[in-house]
Amino acid sequence: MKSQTNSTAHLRVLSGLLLGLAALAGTINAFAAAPLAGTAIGNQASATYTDDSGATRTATSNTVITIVQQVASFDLIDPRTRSVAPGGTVYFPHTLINLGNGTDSFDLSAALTTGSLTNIFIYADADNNGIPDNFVNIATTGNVAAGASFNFVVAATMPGNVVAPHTSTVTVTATSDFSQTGAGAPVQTDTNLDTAVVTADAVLVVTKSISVGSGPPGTTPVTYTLTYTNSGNNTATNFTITDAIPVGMTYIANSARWSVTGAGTVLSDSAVVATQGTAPNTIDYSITGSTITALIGQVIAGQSGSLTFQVGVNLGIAPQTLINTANHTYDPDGPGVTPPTSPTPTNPVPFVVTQVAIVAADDPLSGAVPNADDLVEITTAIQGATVTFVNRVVNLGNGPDTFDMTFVGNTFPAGTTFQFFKSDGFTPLVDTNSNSIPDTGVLQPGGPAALNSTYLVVVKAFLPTNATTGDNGGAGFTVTKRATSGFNPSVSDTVVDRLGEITGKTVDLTNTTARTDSTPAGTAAAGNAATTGFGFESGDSLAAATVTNNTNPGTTTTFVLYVNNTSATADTYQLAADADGNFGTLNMHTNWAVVFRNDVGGSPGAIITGTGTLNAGTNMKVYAEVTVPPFTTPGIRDIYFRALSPTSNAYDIKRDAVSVNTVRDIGLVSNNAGQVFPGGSVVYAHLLTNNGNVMEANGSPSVITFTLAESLAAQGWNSVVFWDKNGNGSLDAADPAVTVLDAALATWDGLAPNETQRFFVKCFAPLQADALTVNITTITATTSGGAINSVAVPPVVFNKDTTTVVKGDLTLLKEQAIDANSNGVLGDAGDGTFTTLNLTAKPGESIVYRITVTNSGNTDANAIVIYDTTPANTTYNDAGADSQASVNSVTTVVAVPTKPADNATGAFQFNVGNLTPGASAIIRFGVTIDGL
Amino acid sequence: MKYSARIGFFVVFLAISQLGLQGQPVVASEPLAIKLTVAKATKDVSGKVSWLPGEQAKPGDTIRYTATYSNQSDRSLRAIKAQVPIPEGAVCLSPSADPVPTEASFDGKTFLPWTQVQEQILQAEKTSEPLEIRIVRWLVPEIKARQTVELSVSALLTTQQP
Repeated sequence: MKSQTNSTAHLRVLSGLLLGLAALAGTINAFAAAPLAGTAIGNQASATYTDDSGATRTATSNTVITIVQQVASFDLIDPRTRSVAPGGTVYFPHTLINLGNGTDSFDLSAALTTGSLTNIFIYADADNNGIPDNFVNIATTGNVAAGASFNFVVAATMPGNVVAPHTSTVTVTATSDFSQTGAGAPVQTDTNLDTAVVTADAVLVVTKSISVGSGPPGTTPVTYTLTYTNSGNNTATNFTITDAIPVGMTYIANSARWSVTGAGTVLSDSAVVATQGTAPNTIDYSITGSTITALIGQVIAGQSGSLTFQVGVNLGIAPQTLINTANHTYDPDGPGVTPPTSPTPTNPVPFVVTQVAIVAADDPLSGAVPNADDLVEITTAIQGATVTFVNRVVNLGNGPDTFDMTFVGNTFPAGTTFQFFKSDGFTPLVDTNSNSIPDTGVLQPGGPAALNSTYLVVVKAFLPTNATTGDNGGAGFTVTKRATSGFNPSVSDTVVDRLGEITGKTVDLTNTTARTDSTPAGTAAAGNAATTGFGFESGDSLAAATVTNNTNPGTTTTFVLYVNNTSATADTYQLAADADGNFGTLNMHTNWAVVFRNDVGGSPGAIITGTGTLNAGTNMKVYAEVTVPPFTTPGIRDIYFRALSPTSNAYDIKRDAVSVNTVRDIGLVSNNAGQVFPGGSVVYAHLLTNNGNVMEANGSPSVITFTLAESLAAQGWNSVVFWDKNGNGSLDAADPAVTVLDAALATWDGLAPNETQRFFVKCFAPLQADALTVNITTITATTSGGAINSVAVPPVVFNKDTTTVVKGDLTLLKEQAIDANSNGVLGDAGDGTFTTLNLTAKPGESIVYRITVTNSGNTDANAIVIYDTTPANTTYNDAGADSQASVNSVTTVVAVPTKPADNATGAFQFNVGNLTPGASAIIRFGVTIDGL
Repeated sequence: MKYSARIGFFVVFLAISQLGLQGQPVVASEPLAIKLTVAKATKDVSGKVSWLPGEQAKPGDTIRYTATYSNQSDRSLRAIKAQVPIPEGAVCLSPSADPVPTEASFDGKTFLPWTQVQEQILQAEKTSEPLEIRIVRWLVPEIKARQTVELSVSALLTTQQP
C-alpha cells in the first residue's frame, strides 16, 4: 500500500498527464475514499475580478457533475475448524461483508471437498449466534446494503461409522450477483474452506449471542450469552472461556450469571474469590482489565449450560461494528492422555454502534451549542454592496456527516440575492451528496476541538443598488440559514445573519471646484457646508443660492459644477435643472433653456444628460449653460441643479441663481427720403422700439420726448410728429400729434420691452421753395426721468428725413405681402396681400414688395428712375413672376438695368420712364428672409 | 479473504446548467461569463490520446476540466482570480494545469504559491497522509473586452474501495 501511495504522489507532481493516461490501463490507483454508487461529483469554476468601475465582482460557471456507478466487492470470513463426534452435526459460522459501493446479493454454496461429511446445508443466522435461525437451506443472501453483513451457518453431518482420526473439509463459495451482470464484470467470487475433525472424546460446541445487535452510543445493558453443549462422548474438564470485551464497551460489575448456579447467584468479578458452585459443577469467574475468564470444572457428555454477562456501549464513540469473539479450551478426555484443545473461537458477535446526528450552526465566536439562536451581525452596508457573513457548522454527532445549507427566509429588501460560498469566500458551495442542495462536504465528528469537524460557510448577500435604506424599523435585516444533517435530515440547526442598517449612496454637487476628498481633488470642503451645498436639506445649504451669475437678457451664462461620487462604490448620475427645486415635474422659467456639457480640455464639450459611471471617490466637471431669453425683465431667478443616480436614488441638489441685468435701449428707424412740390407735404413713417427689458415712456419714471429740427427752418420748412394710434399704418385723422410720451398721453400705456409703435413725421414745404431744394428733418427721441434699477436713461436716438422739392409731384407707396412658400407667386395658401402694415414672417419665408409710383402733379414727369435695395437679412428672390424685379408702366421705356443675382443681396434700379399727370407705374421685387 | 478489486467504478459525466440548483443564483448580466466543461482522456488503437466530453470513464482515468472565461463587456476586466476546484473523488494532476497556475489550496481556505504547493506534495509523500489539491487558482491580470481566456487542469478519478 505504501508503494502505491508514493507512486500516486509522484503522479500528482511529476509525471502528471502521461502517467494519468497510463492509468487507462488500470495500473495506478488514486487513494481517497470511493463514493457510493450514484454519488454525484459536482464541480463549478469561479472567479473574482475588478470591473471597469473598480468594483470587485464574483462570477461562477455552470456546474458539471460526474455520477459514480456501482462496483462489486465483498469479503467472506472466515475458514472454520470444528471437532465433531461420529454421527454428530458440525456448524461452521460465516459472515459475508459487502465491500462494494452499492447494494448487492450473493450466491452461496457449500460442497464436500474431502472426507465423509454428508447433509451439507446453509442456514441463515440473522442473530449471529452461530446457530441456524431455522432449517431452511438457502442459496443466496438476498440484498445486502453497501457496508452491511450477512451471517449464515454451514451445517454438515459426520456419519456414525466414521472413526477417529478423520478429517473432512467443505468448500463454501460466495459469488456477487452484480458482478455477473455486464456492468459489474468481472465476476467476483470468494471461498472459505471449513474443516471438521472427528473425535471420540468430548466435543464442546460453544456459541455466542447478544441481547441487542445495535444501538447508539450509551446503549446499556447489552447482554452477551455464551452457550455450550458437550456433543461428544466423554467428559470435558477445565472448560475455560475467555472473552475480551471490545474497546468501546464497558463491563457492568457483578453482571455475570451461570446457568448452573442460577440467576440469583452473582458471579464474583474478583479473581481472589473462591470457586462458586457445587463440585464437580464449579465455576471460577473473574475479570481482569476488560477480559473475562470463566473456568468451569467439568461438562459431562450431553450436558449444556450458559454464561451471561453485561456491558454498556460507551458514550461518544463513532459509528462502528464492535465484534466480540470468545475463545475456549477444554480437556476432552478428562484425566486421559489427550491434551487440552487449542483456543477455539466462537462465532463473532457484532454490535453495530449507530450514528447520531447533532449539528450546531452558529457564529464562529460562539460556543457551538445546537439549537441556540445564534446571531451573526454586521453593523452597516451601503446600497449595492455585497455583505459577507461567516457561519460555522460544527458536527457534534458521532460520525462523519454532511450538512445541507439552505436559506429559510429573510427580511432583506426585495431584490437581495444570497449565495453560499466555501470557506475561502470565493468558491461557490456546491452539492456533494447528490441532492442538488449545496452542502458543507463531509465533516468529521468530535465537535469544535476535533480535526475537520468544523466548516466555515460564507454567506453573501448581494444588496440591490436601489435597496431601501435604513434599519428596517430598528429590526435590521436578517437572513436565516439552516444546516441539515445528511445522515438524519430531521436534525438541523439554524443561524441568523443580521445586517443592522443599509446606508444610501451619496453624491455631492459642488460649484466651481471639486471636494478636497475627491479625485481629482478640488478645494471644496467636504460635508454639509454651505460652500459646497452637500445634500438637499431645507434651511441648510439651500437657504440661499450658492452661486449667482449676472447676465443680460438674450445671453447664455455658465455655471461650473462638479459631481462628486462620495460613495464607496461606483455610480452613475443623471443631470437635471429645475426652477422651483422640487424636481417633481421639471420646469424652467419661461423660454429659459439649460443644457449640460462635459469638460474637454477645460472648455465645454458635448451636450450630456448624465455623468456616466463615476468610480467611488471620483468626480466629474460639468458645465451648466443657462440661456436667458431676450427682454427678460430684470431680477434674480433661482436655478436648481440636481445629480441623481437612477439606480441607487442617491442625489444632491444645488441651488444657484441667475441675476438678469437691467437693460435700457430705445431704437428708432428709419431714415427716409421723399419729394414734395412747393407748398406740399410729405409723410415719413418711423418705428420706435423698446429694445431693453424695462418699461419706458410710461411716466414712472421714464418719459420719451420727440423733438424735430429742420435744416431749412429759416426758409419756412416745418414738421409735425403723429402717433399711429389706430395702428393702421397710415396717417389719418385718428392719429394725434405728439411730442411727449408719458402717462399723460391718452390711451398710451408706455412702451413695454420689445414693443414697437409707429410715428409719422409730416413735413411741410414752403410755397416759395425752389426746385431741387433739399430739407433734412431730424426727429429725435430723448428718454428722461432718471435711472431704473440704477441704470441710466438710454441714449438719444434720431432719424433724418430728406425731402427734395420737385416740379412734378411723384408719390411712392411701398407695400409688402407674404410669400409663405417662397415660390415668387402670390395667391398660394399661406400667402398674404399687400399692406403697408408690419408683417410677421419666419426665416425662410419670402416677401414681395410693391412700389406704386404716381404722378400726382399736373405736368409730365419724365425719365423717372427708382432705386431700392434688398433689406438687411434678406436676399433677392428671383423665383416667380410676382417676385422678379419688374416695372409696369404706361410708357415703353421700362427696364431693370440693375438687380442682384438670385439669392444675393444688392441694389435695384428701375427705369420707370415718363408718367403723365395722374399716371402710375408698378414696381415689384421679392426677397427671402435668411434661414436658420 | 478480502477480494482485491482495483478497478470497477464507472462514471458518467453529465454537464448540467446551474439553473435550478438551489442556492446558485444566476446573474445574466455579469461582464465575466464562465463555462466549465469536463472531458475524458481516451486512447485509440494506435495509442493516440484524445479528449472526449460527456462519455463514461473508469476510475483511474484522467479527466480534464476546462474553464473558459469570457469578457462579455466592452471594457477590460482586471485582477481576475480564476479558480477551478478539484472535487472529492478526484486527484489533481498538477503538471497538467495549463497555463501554470499561480497558487493552489489544500484545504479550500488558504492558498499557497504554486511552487510551494508542489514542494509540499513531494514532502507529504514521505508521510502516510498525502496532500490533495482542492482548488487551483490562476491570477489573470487582464481580460480585454470581448476576449476569452481558457484554463484547464486534469484530475485522476479515485478508485479505492470504501
